[in-house]
Amino acid sequence: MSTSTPATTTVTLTINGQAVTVAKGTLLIEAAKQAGVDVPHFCYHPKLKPDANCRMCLVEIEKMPKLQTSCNMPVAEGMVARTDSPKVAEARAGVLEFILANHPLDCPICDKGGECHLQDEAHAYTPNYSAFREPKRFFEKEYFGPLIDKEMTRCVQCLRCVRYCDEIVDSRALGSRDRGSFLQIGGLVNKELDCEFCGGCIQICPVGALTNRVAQYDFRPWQLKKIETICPHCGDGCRLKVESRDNVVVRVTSDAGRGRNNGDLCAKGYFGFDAVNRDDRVKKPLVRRNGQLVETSWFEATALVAGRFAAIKAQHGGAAIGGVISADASNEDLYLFQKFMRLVLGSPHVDSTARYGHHNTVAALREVTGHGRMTASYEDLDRAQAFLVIGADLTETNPIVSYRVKHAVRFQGAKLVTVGRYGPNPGAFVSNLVNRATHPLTAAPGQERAVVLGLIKSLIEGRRVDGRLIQESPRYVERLSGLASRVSWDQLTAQSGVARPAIEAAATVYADAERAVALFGRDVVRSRGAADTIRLIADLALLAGKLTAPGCGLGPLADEANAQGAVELGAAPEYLPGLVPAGDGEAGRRVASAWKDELPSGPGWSLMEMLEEARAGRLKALYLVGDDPLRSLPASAKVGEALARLELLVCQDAFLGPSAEAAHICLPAATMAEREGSWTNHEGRVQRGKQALDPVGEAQADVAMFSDIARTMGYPLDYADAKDIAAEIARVAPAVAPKGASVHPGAVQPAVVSQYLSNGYEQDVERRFAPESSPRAASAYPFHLTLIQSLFRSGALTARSTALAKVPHQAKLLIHPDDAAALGVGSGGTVRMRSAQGAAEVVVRVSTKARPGRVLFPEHYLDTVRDLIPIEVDPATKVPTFRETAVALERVAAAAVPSRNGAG
Amino acid sequence: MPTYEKILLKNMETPGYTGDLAAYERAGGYQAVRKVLAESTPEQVVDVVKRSGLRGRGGAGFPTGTKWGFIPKDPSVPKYLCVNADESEPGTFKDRQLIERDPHQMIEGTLIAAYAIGAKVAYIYLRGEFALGARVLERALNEARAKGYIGKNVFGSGRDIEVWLHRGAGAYICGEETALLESIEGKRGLPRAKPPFPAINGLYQQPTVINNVETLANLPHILTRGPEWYAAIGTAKSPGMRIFSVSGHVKRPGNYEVPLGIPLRELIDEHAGGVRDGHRIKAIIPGGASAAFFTPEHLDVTLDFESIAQAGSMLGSGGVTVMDETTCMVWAAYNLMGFFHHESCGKCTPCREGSVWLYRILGRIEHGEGRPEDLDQLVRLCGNIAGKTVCAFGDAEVAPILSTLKHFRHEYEAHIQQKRCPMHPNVLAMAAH
Repeated sequence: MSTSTPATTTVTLTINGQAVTVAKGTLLIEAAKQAGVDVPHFCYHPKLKPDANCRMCLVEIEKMPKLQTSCNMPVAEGMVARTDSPKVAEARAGVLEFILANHPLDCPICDKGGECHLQDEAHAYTPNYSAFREPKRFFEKEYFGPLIDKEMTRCVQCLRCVRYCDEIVDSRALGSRDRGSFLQIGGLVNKELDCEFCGGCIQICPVGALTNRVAQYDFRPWQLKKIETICPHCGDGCRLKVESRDNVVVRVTSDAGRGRNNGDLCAKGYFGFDAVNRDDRVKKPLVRRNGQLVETSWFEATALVAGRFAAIKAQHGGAAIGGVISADASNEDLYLFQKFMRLVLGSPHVDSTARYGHHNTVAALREVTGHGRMTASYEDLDRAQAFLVIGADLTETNPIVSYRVKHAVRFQGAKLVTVGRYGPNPGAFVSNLVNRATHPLTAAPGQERAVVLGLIKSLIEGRRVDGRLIQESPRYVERLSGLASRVSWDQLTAQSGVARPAIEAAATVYADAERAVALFGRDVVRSRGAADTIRLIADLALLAGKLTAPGCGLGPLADEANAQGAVELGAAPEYLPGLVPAGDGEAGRRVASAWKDELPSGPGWSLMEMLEEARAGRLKALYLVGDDPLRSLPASAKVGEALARLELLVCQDAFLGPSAEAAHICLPAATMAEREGSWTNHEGRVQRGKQALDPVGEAQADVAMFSDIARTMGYPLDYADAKDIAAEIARVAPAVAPKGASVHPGAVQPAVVSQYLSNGYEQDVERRFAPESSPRAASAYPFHLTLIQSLFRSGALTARSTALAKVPHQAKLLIHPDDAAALGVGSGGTVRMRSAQGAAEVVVRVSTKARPGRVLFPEHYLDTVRDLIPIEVDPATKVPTFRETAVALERVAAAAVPSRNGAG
Repeated sequence: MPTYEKILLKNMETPGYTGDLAAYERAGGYQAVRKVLAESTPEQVVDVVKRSGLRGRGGAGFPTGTKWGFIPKDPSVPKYLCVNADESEPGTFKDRQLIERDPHQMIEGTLIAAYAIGAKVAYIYLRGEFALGARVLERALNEARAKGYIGKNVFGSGRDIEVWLHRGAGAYICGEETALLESIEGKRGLPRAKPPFPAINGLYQQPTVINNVETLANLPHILTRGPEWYAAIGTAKSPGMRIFSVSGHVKRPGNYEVPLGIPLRELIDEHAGGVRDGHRIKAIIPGGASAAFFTPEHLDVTLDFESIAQAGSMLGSGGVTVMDETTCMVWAAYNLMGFFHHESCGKCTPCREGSVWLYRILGRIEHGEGRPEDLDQLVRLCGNIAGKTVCAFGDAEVAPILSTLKHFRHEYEAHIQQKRCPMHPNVLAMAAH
């Protein structure tokens, strides 16, 4: 829901003789820009608070005796400013003369050469000689870590990087030290950089003081081909600029003002691109001959895949074939894949990796809002007065959303309630939302629902239920009030470990804010009973009047780049494109008629069911596109057994994953940079990405391979390009088609919500209001382990990034200082972790982010840790959960010379 | 020698005065604030100070009552008073004496000012090097707190006024009021870009007044004896007494409290005992290191804000440094530039880059490596700094250079022609930096 911009009064001023009318409060430099007048600057940046330190933007203002910096000067009615007077020109030349006096002029070997503000401004505003006759000041080179290069002699001390690191990222890993002409940028505690590695400091540096070591000396900016696409690493939906030369990605950037991310990136987006360039990509189709995978031609591979699919279909029916696709794929890939599975192979068994979590969200919210998208836009986040963030470690899972939330909390005074299992760790250089929470409700793991129940109970008992809701849906309010009153505070606080007054205060903050957004993430979405918890969060929003009110909404966060598209476009057994239930005959017929074909009959199997059916011998063939369940699931899922029994396993991926061991055919797939298409982020924005590179070797885009196989099987699925597919999607599934840039795609569907309020809420209502207690820790396994997401590795692609692997402090078991002391280990020490499933050795990092008795370990690092966890499948949504278990810890090596690196 | 009734230094010059709370009260201390809290509204206090004509003693000479008047009246907005006790201007040592010898006088002034602007909390920002001052102030604050003079319900008035001591870490720039605020907030002491001004957006983004120690020390006396009494001292536009710190080649260096408006000659010759025997005055810095140099021709200029400004310098911090004919003016400028170069915070380009450039040129000239074009270059570079920096430091650092070039250009030329310092042949040993 976006609010209309509040009516602002305008101010008219004169710039260089030209009358300009701008909003009140506009800074003069911005007013000038609106009037088409460019004021040169270094330290000013529209994202940052003005600092006025470079003095480059000095202008003349009538009635002011001195020149004024336009970057921090608010416009005033009748102001008369000149940016083109001789006095101003002299001042600019003076500032540039000072900056250039000590600048090294090593432009020929500086990576910034060609896109350097200083070069541009010097070219425009200085004479071609220097009066400086003194020895130049220089800074000794300081190693700044493996990813970012620091050359302080080039620095213009504008502090943009320091301010960005603080104001946008909230990391504060950078600071300025020493003074006067020796003022320099650096880490304040550690000389080597230890931070979120978002690359923002490099991007915002106007000169070559901070540069990207991954691309060092590899390029001149004008040699690079620059193509924009969408980041594949999480649901935030960031616009990336892939910059390549000779079909090799040199770097990835993002322009301020572009995309939903406004040019901000995270470590994965900025540094994680190098996996694309790896030499161990699958470059040719591979077929298994005499037990070995050997290279073959596309011609042969296509014929083989098509032939085997056709044979299995003929012998066992299409229902003996299953397909799973990665939810990082584009909408076009996803759509065509499910169409291929359903029509060409005649199988209802199609699923995606959205099954690992996002299906819980859609299942819970589809009957409340009509979809599983965020009902609040990113702009609503910027303007929110209160946030409820439930079960989401935003910095690690959805960094760009976290920037917006932290910014609103720090600079707009928004209140922040966090509900989750993480403790605060102030001083850490990787930010943590809990450190910014005005109301941190740190709960026992898995007890997010108990806290949400407590919030609902507080709303009802505190008479803060939305008045209009009471009037319009009295039965709903009464029913929920009744259920809430049955839950006792004693039970809720005992289970969650959160005190009643804290919950009540948080409920008040949420209810009293005019604009409040509730976000929830993977600790809810990927946990037991997720759909109930999510539905309860929706109830909370409804009761508080925060679901449909302007500026308010729900924000389900997705871990995958296109989890939203995967579900909406029918890459799921229970949905046809357009979020149409597969069992809905009428709607199914509409889709079928658009396709001019019959839909496969019978219920489809989800990912976990497919694996089970494969083990049972009923699923004969499996088509894996970009996903590898052997890598994603723990040993207890027995994926290996399932794959071993298949008659045909086709793996279509950019790299050979562990399942390739069992594969009969491997098809080389294009990566995100090598294909075009559109991606739907968790906000519901459908964003188009262009193809930046030619696929390496003989790799192909997924859609091309589907078409090839389909054609060979005698069922042509041919399209001219991605737009052609997108046009068909809009026809077949108009409900999820983009409505244009101005419409927030996550608007709540009024008919759906009123249906929910009249009787839809009854479904499972008793169950979701009955808080489940966590299983008591058995004395044999006294610690609770949660697999968390890491900012530096979230899947197969990022795991293959050489650059990201250089970030410090990864793959560590986070443990509370008290527990570490009791075990006798410090940061850097090793412990053996045992569960009923097995044992693993891990290195420890002491941090208060882990609460006493609970330990945290990042997923995607060690299979041995993941294999400690038993798997459980939600009977309704079929979502597997495998992120928590009880473990025992014993010390292997105390290690750890205490160091400040270990703190936080 | 004309004598004047001492006001600020009176107590401490009384034999046997210890400066502790009992001594201060015996001398009539804490009566003014008691009376103000009992009988006056904050608005009345502001009005009295406005009518007294009191002007800030830190350097800029801004009218104190007017400064207070900028503070919003809304009682729901927290407001702060910061006491600028970061006295770091070379040649200035008056606040140090006020703090060390009579701390309760400034604490009483602090309480009056806090009451006038509606601040419940005041911070005394004390120069890091003032170790004795810190001990004295801490002790005095504890005495006052124990008596209920600061803290909750001061003097039983129902008002809370807390006063905290915050020690700096030794950076000159922290005497600049917005750098001072940053430092109190726990950040690097860098001046803020203005607007916004502290009166609206100061400490912790709240309305804030920053007053100098000497300014505040005047308040108990103004409130006790009335604005008319105060306004009658000194000149019409620069009323009151002023402590001048006289240093350099005089017989009796020290702090002298005199009415504003006496001639510079009187201060040097009568109060400070004149230049040392056998020598004659060559140059005078009338208002701290940031003020332009005067020559003996200026000895009849009167010591008030307007006259000194009209003569091309400033009253500034009241630090008067006298140099006789043995002092090389290039060396003096070089020495001062060494200080400014060392203390430039580095935040803004002209000062950061300009200070080191100027320092290097002056160093070359002083060491006999000057070039004829250096002098115009100095003037040009000073012009690119003055008025173009974030804070007044930029104006300060160029003042010694421009004024010595104006009055003593021949000395610079002599250095360049003779390729050495004519007065200090062994200048390397003398160089302070």
